[in-house]
Amino acid sequence: MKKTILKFLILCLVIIPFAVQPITGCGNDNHNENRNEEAKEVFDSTTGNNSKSAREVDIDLSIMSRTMIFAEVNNITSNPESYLGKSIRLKGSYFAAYYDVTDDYYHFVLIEDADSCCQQGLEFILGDDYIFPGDFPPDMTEIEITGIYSSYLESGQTYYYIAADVMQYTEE
Amino acid sequence: MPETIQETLNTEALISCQNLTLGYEGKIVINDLSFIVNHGDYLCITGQNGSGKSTLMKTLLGLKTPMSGQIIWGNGIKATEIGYLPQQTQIQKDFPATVREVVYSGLINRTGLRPFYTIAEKAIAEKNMRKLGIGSLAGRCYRELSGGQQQRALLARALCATRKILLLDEPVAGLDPQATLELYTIIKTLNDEGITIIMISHDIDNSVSFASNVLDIGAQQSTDIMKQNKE
Amino acid sequence: MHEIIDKLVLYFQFPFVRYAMITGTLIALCSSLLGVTLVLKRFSFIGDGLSHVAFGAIAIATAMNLTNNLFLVLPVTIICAIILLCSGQNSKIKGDAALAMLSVGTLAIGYLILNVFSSSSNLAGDVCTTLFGSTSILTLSMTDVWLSGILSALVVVVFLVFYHKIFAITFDEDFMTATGVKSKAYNLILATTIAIVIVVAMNLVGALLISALVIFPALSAMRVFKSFRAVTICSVFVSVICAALGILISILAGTPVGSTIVAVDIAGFLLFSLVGKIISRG
Repeated sequence: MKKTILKFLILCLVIIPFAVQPITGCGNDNHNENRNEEAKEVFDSTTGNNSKSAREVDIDLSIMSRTMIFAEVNNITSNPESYLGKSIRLKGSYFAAYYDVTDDYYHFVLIEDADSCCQQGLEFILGDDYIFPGDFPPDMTEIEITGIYSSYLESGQTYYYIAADVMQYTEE
Repeated sequence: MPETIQETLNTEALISCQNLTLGYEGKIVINDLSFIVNHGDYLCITGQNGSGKSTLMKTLLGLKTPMSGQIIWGNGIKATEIGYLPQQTQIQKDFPATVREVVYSGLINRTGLRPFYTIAEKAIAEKNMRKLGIGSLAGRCYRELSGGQQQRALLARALCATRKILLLDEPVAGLDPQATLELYTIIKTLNDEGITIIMISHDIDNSVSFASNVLDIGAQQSTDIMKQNKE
Repeated sequence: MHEIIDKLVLYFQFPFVRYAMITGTLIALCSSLLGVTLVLKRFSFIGDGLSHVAFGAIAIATAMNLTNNLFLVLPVTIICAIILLCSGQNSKIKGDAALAMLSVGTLAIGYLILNVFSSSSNLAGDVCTTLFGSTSILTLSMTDVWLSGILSALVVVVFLVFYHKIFAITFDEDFMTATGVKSKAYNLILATTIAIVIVVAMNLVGALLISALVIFPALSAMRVFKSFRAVTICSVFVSVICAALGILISILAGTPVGSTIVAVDIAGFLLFSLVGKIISRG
């Protein structure tokens, strides 16, 4: 019995320093990433300023890890009604899709999960000042969208989208 | 001079095997075997490799079914009153368990659906461990014991499972001469206390000197019991 | 360190993170309990085999457009578990060959069925998710959490009630049968429990990585501890801690959940091996 307790104590002493190390390591990496991004030139399409929008949003996915983003977007697309009216900030790849029935382009933010084997997309719509294709970046550019989660009716179907007022991306 | 089955059939035997034919996958290993085991007997089953000794023991224990013939258990002995010392497997030699845990597992046929051992049952196990001289090893890890000590632990376990009869499959296989003699002495002591012993052994010299009866498989196709006169 | 705590506090606001932690630790607890028995019975790969069978059943359920595939997956997996674990030494095809045939066969046929019959838009993604369990643990509903909770409680109760019997049939099944104990019945209970745990655990780490969840904690514990009881308890602690750590690290660092948990399990195993060597020399 005594030997068992002794073994257990030794284990704890050995494990705890190891366990703390990787977590602190990961945290530092994320922090450095954020600083690097802020240093890049940010093209703000509405004001032309080099400033990042610092508004508070209900759900800020731009500061989360890929695993979290994918899971939360999955929740949004599974239960869209519960997210209506919430403000969302999201970072992902831009993608424009043409639908010939309505002869219109639809804009999406795509995100991948951690295995890169699954993709999800949220549609977004910017204000009428934005003309496609001039005001939009090329496909698969990394963009950041901030807006309110809303819905619209088209051809009898309800579609959900982010009513975005800001789209930010880095000029190549 | 060998006695015939006719004379012994009238007595109340513990086990009575009649016209047993054993085999597997269509191949007959033992043909038309009949014998009787009485209370307090010390029966040694010998024979060459492949003659079917283990098959016979497993059939007696109900682990295998005979191709034909029957085994009659007399004197109201139940399946839960049999002790068994099987040959060790490699898994067991490397098993993370204390000697106490191994020996206690022999009590399970007494517990039924109860998920714990009673104090009385644990006392039986402790007594058996002391009887076999491994009381001091109770807290040790099973895989750290010597071959002889492991066999004694398994024998203690077998004792926990029975009050009447012990079946042992080559208990001294792989043991050095001293451990072998110690184990045989312990088994003889148990027999003297009234426990019926059925043992498979290659070791003809030693086993024959301790046993009251010897059954040699393969000596004849249909064998009677050979009783040996003891001095 | 401060940033990590802040981030974790933010993440834990999300219900799906809380659900993931609860379910993850419960599943880790159950699989480690059974892992000790499986490893000692030399059935370490059964997690793989049974999870592939479950995958095949999921494929068939998808092709048949069943709303809740659990009604097909669970019975099929239980039956296969019983066939594998209860055949014992009497089977013509020995344990590991049977397992290999079942494992590979169901995986191939499952994928074939999905390709031919499925109308899913992202087939590769669906398969990938089932096999690797990317984020399925983070997309659980409240119902899923309750289901996992109830099943886990069941497994723990079964294990506690039949603890001595499980030890006995793991150590020496022949002895149990010979001395009149109904070992076949207990084997059946064990096989059913294992099947249930594996079907539930597929949500956590995916079909391909389940074996790791079952065997690593048990093996780690066996490096250090010498009695069956100590090994079992240690195995549970290791499994739960590694699963919790794995989930936390994966949501912080953005890595796949299943693989991260297994990586932490491996690290734990190496650590325990080291400690075991130190103790045995000391």
